Amino acid sequence: MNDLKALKQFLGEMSERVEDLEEGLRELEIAYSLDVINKLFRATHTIKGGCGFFGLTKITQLSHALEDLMMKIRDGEVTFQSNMIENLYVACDALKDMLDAPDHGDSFDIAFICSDLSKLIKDSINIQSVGEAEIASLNENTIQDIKEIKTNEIIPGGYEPSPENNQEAKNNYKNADLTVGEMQIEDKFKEEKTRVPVEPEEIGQTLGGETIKVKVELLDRLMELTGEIVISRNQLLRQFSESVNKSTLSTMAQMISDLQQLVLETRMQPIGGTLTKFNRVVRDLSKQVNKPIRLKIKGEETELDRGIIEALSDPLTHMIRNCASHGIEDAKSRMTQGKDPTGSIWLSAKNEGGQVAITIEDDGAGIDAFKVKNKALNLGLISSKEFEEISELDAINLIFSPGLSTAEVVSDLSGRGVGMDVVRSIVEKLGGVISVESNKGIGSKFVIYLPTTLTIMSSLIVRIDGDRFAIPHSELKEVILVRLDDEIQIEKIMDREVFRLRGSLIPILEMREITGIRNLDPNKIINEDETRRERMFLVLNSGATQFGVVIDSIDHTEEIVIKPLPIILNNHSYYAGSSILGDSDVAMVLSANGICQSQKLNTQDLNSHHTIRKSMMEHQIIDMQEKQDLLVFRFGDEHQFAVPLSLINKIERIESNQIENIAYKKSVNLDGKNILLVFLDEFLELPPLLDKQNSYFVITTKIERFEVGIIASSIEASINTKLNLDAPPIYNNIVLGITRLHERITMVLDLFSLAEKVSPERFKAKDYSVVPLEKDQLLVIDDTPFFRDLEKKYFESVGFHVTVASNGKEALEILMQKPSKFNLVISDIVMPVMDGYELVNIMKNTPELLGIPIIALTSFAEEGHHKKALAAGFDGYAVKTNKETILQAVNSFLVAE
Amino acid sequence: MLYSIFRIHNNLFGVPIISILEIVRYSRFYPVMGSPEIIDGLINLRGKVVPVINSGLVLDGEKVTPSDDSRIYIFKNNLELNDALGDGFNSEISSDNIGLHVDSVCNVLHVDKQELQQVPENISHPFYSYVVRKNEEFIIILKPSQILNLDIKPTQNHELKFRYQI
Repeated sequence: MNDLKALKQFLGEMSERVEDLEEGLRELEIAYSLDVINKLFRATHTIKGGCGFFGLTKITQLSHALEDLMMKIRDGEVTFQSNMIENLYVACDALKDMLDAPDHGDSFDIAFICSDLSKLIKDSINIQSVGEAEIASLNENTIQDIKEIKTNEIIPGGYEPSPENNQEAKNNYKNADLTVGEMQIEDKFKEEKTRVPVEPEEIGQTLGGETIKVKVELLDRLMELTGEIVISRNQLLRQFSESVNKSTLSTMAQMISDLQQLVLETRMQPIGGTLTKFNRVVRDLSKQVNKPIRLKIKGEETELDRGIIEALSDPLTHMIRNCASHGIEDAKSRMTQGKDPTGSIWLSAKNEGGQVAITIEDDGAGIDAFKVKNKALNLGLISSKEFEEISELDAINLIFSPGLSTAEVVSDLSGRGVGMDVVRSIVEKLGGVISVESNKGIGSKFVIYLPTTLTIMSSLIVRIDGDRFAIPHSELKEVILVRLDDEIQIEKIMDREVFRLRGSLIPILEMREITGIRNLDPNKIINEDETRRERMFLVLNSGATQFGVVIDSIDHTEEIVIKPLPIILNNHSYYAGSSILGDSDVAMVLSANGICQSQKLNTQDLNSHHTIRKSMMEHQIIDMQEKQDLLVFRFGDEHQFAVPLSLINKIERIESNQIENIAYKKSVNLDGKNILLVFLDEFLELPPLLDKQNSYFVITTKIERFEVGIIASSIEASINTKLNLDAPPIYNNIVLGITRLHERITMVLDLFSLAEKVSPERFKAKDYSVVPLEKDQLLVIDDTPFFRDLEKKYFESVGFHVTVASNGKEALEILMQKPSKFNLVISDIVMPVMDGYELVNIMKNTPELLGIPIIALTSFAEEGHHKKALAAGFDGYAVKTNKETILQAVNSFLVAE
Repeated sequence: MLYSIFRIHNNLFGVPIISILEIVRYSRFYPVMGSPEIIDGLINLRGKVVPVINSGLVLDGEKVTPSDDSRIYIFKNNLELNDALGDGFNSEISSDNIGLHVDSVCNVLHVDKQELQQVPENISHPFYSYVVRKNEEFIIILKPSQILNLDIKPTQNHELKFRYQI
């Protein structure tokens, strides 16, 4: 058993030597140097020696032949010629295959390779006119002798050859009847002597410094334990936080931090080996596709977690193959383009702000965006509409979609349709991102950003149903809190909850749904009330799919070590593993990919479903009005009123004795100003207030030059609600409409009309100085009939011609019929079928409609909406219930023209 | 061979001591949302996350509830078991350490091979390997490898009962 283990370990080391051999050959190909030959010699020598010890005769035979050639080149007996390279590669490959073979090459036929190699020697020596026969016999003897020396010297347990052995061996040579060969064998012997003790150190040596080999499991365990020590330290620190003298404790705490850092570093290794093996790959590819290609490698010393390095090998191979087969053009067409006939591929790694960036760049033809999107269209990945609209960069990014390959001819190198999507998913699994840039005719460039360590991931710790869960930041896009009064709420489509996130619908999942326990307990079925609360969810990314997972609360952010799931829980694919948190609690780690797969999420389905629903809505306009802040007050005990809170300046309480009578009008002195009081019973048919009330509330407005106070007998509430206005039962233009608030019929006041009524002279005369011309045509778009009529009334009252539409789509149809007819468009934002943002987007991208200014009209007065509207392309913005600003906005556009 | 004897409800069960890594007190189970009821949850065993199986439910009985007496048998994983068995033996138990939650620990018994009897037909169960009569008591020897390699399916649509694979 021990022997087997030793052999296994030995074979591993031999593979590394073969890699050295390959690397040396590549260097040799570029330029001949004695250093390289020495390197090759050392590698073959080690292989030969070791395999001889383990009795792997065929390998010994071949490596011996190879070594022989190297030695002769080194000693100048044979001149190196570039045509030798091919044979050397053949030998190298054979060695590799033999080492990997279960019988260690015993069944391999290597005679022809060996004879080829010795033929090289012969041919070369022939040129140097050295006696053929002499050399041949010398060769044979040397093989025999050296074999003896090796077996003598390599004794298990001791590498240092004993002096007796040395002497004996030397004597053997002394006795040998050889003259020409003697010097050489002496040399050889010296080489043996100095080399052998060095070998054990050389094994496993990387770039500089002394190294030893350590079992990975040992490192993993060390890492786990260190993690636990850190946790215990934190507990200790908490426990002794009160104590005065804790210098020892803090020293220890510091040392533990250092320890943790060092243990993490033990898992790091330079990426070099993985990168340099591509030299061979490119060399072979270059032959296969018959294009001269060179590979330039930079940053081999960049360190990454070994797990990441291992996982990177396949995706990089795939991408390099892509560069060679699709990217680089053949020499002829490169020449006609004035490029260097030899194509270049650059492969580099570097540290960049805590991450490692790996770049794969070529100077080939670049990615043909049109071809990509054409293919995507044929495969049904994009619609014909998207085909037209998609930007070049987005089109190039389609190469990451499953099943897409632009190679016209499917070869064994590439074009099999599995490719970049797999690359991307591997990179994402490692917590990285991949991006692509391409310039047609100049080349393409892929950049992979990776975290340096796999095991430690910065994660968000959240609570769901009382349990704690961790989600790595790399999979988390954002956290969204939906308040009851937010513009966009979680909606339901086909029993599935969805959320409109910046124009796309994303499914919202509950953990109970994901884990399948939702329907288990009938008592646990969420009642409708529960959906009427604030809800918070994580937006997770799995490839191109986004979805939300509802959480209860956020705990904190923590660097966690993700432990793989025990096999017994392997079926729970929605978890990436578990983790021990800082307070030694165990939390499950969510996996975005896992959830996505287990739920078979496909956002496309959802979106198409949404389209169907949209068309349904064209027939039945669903009320999707915006919400508004309202101040609710009463006039007398019976009558409830509401005014938009955005128009309110102040509410003050006054005593009835403060009210003064001036010229039959009641007023009050507030902050040194005489405020005219408005009693609503003067304008509406209401019972007058009873005199016995001792105090009143005075509501003052923000409307300029309307310095009046509206009298209220009590203030009920300030609420945020959807305004479902019905037309007032009795026509009166100071009432916008009636609605039900707090279980009562409430009249919503139009403060501007009220202002006009109170002081007609001041308002009419000054404000609406614009005299609209006959040709001035306005298009007013609003989905709510009430507001639509109100707006129409506003504009018609000052002389405009008004056309109305109930949504963006309808408006577009009207506009497209006769684009020149309208001077100005005034549009609501939130509408069914086509909302204001979409409308403005289309208008600003349609040449005929580009010149028509469009003003957003909403019931939101907050700054945020204002900015959002302007950013979306609206030329102006006004608040729906604010007649003055509406007219001002309209005014400014017409005057500007 | 030495067996560790424990109690599940009123029955005595035994497992070979060599398969056990350690026996710990019940501390706290961290639930795995979505796992079937037979998984009590995960425990933090000095930095190692170990899933715990409820022995009562596995053996088709009543659930073992955490108490002062209840203990968790932590079984060795394949590597640890084969290290303990020494060269030349190769036995499979489970690739991970897994815990078994039992009502209480009784004692350690030495049982000779000839004392092991076949399981009577009427109490036959896939997880029983032998029965032993000792000191007037009837002990069932379990097959830990069967219990620890249950094919655990995440709960889905009303499916409360787990299915064990034999």
